[in-house]
Amino acid sequence: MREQQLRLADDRTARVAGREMRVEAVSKKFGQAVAVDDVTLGISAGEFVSLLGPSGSGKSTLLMIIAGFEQPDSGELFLGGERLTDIPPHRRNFGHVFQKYALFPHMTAAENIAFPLKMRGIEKAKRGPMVANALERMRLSALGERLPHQLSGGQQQRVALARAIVFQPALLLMDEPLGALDKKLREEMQIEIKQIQRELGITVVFVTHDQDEALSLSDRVAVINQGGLSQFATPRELYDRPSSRFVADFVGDNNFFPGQLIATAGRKGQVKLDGGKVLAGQLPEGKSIALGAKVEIAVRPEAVSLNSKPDSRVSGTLIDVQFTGGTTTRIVRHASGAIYLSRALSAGSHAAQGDAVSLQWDETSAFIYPADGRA
Amino acid sequence: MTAASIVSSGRPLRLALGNRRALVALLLLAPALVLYVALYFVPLFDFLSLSVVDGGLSTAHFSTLLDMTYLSVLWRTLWMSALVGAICTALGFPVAYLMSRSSAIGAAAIGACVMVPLWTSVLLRTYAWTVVLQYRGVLNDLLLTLGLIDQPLRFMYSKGAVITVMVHVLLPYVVLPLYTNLASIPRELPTAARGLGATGLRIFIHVTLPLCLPGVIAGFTLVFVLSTGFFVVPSLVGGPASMMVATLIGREISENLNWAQGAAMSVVLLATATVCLAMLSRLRHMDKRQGSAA
Ligand SMILES: Nc1ncnc2c1ncn2[C@@H]1O[C@H](COP(=O)(O)OP(=O)(O)O)[C@@H](O)[C@H]1O
Ligand SMILES: [Mg+2]
Repeated sequence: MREQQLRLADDRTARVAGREMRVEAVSKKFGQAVAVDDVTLGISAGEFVSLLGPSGSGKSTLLMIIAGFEQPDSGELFLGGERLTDIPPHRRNFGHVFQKYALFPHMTAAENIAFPLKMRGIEKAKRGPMVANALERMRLSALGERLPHQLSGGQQQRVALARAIVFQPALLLMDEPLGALDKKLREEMQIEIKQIQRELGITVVFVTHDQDEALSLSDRVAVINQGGLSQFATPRELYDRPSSRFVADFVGDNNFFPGQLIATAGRKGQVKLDGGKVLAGQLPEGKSIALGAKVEIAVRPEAVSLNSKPDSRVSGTLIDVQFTGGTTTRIVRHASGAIYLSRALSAGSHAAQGDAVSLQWDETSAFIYPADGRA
Repeated sequence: MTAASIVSSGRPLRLALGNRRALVALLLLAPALVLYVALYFVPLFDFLSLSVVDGGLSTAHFSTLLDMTYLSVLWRTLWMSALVGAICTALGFPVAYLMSRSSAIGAAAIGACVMVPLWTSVLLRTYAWTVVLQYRGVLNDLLLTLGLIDQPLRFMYSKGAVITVMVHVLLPYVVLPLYTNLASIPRELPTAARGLGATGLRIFIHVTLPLCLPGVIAGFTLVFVLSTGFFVVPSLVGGPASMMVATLIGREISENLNWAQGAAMSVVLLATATVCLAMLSRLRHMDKRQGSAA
């Protein structure tokens, strides 16, 4: 029985989920405000992709365009080469999980899950086992006859997820689905979502403003800023090689040192800091910055170590030492008032609060970005 | 007073507190209650009690009702009221739906259009309708001019005329509860249904309609109950064949001066309406699932 179902799932996966989703040059305005700005994304079959960005950056609008609830002003959508742009949402065969779950309050959990099957004309006798299977997978078997308001937030969330996957959708779209849950439940659900995605081999587009969530769940993350795509990369790449000032700032912590680009040699650049010191760093790939342009050097706190003897490098006063479980973060205030972070696994430097310290790092972990560049 | 608070400790204090709350509630209610009892219940009871007095206590006024046209008029009142309720619901639904889908300004504008007729007296509006419906009236003029008829038609003094005018007068009473209900349905529910594969009609049948059933029943009930007691409209635009109970009661009292008989008719009308109301209210609460709809 179970094998049969799995085989069925496999067949379906091969047929519908084994297709690439392409978003090509999609733009959308609301009045004068640009919500989505020329976004191009290729999402592979079976891939877990997050749309990550600050609130109001256009993530939901992009997701609604993929779902078909919003029409793009320009651009096209393709699913496995088939043009999707004009296909209405109810014929796209996508599953959705909304932040507020959107369960039908007058239907039981089981009826909610059966709804998409009913809409697809699947007869009652076949719906029963499919619903039971979905309930079991989400550990909801005992709760099938409950109404949504008789379920906890986490249970409602699982019903919403079961409803979204029971019909083997070609794509599963989720808009901040865990936003309403508390931290512990959220982490449980993250594991559960990831597990289901792997088992079903389903393609997922997941909207979140929580970078930890995006980094831990995704195969690739699309960072969205002011409607535009800043970077589309694996979590590792995103963290290690942010392509812009924005991504370097938005994903993880970073120290920024403003200055002016004074020399370049291949991928290496020399920056004269506002204080007059000259530091070296890596120039971004595929983009050239004019000499003399305003730039910023970004260095991750993990790459920064503290030296108790002030020297020619950037220096300041150690104002606080924060122990946060696995790591220790040291906070340094520069004479200009700027705050810098240094993070180490062990206790690290022996400098004490109030000491004058200088910051040091390997120049391969310093990245040069044009100042204020959006992309 | 809830069971929990009685069981819990500090019982006397809580009871005292409960009593005080009840007292405050009673005091706040008192003015309205006094008005209601003095101006409504006492006269009503006074009037209705006439029905059982005929020299001594008697059921004579009720038994005569069985021989009279009363029962057929009562039956007509009920089905015509139900029909008016149904038509109002059918006509009011699209208006309420449009309102719930409009922007705040749009909804306010439609709402104002729905409400404005309520500011004109029913009498005036009914007279306006007689101008429209009479033999040499606006409607016949129009149909003659358009060449749709050769001879003026008799619209007045028919059931059709009574129902038309009552629908016009009572329409706002169904639009408002329906709008409130429809507006409380979260927007993401129809969206979710669409995403799950439902087309417009099926979204309506499976999601919107079940969720606004309480509003439909509330609107229908209001119109139905108001209709059963309608006096002005059936009296002015209706004839003998479309007479409703209120007109019959009025005639019994003002023409035959038979107050006791009129009171007996009123008692039966009140009882019948109450039974209908109870049935409708049961229908509304039957589906316990509606509990969380809003
Ligand atoms: N229906 C709408 N009408 C007008 N403006 C909208 C609408 N939906 C979104 N916006 C605007 O588009 C921008 C992007 O919104 P949204 O996609 O919801 O961002 P996010 O999901 O990243 O928080 C915001 O500035 C928002 O105000
Ligand atoms: Mg959003």
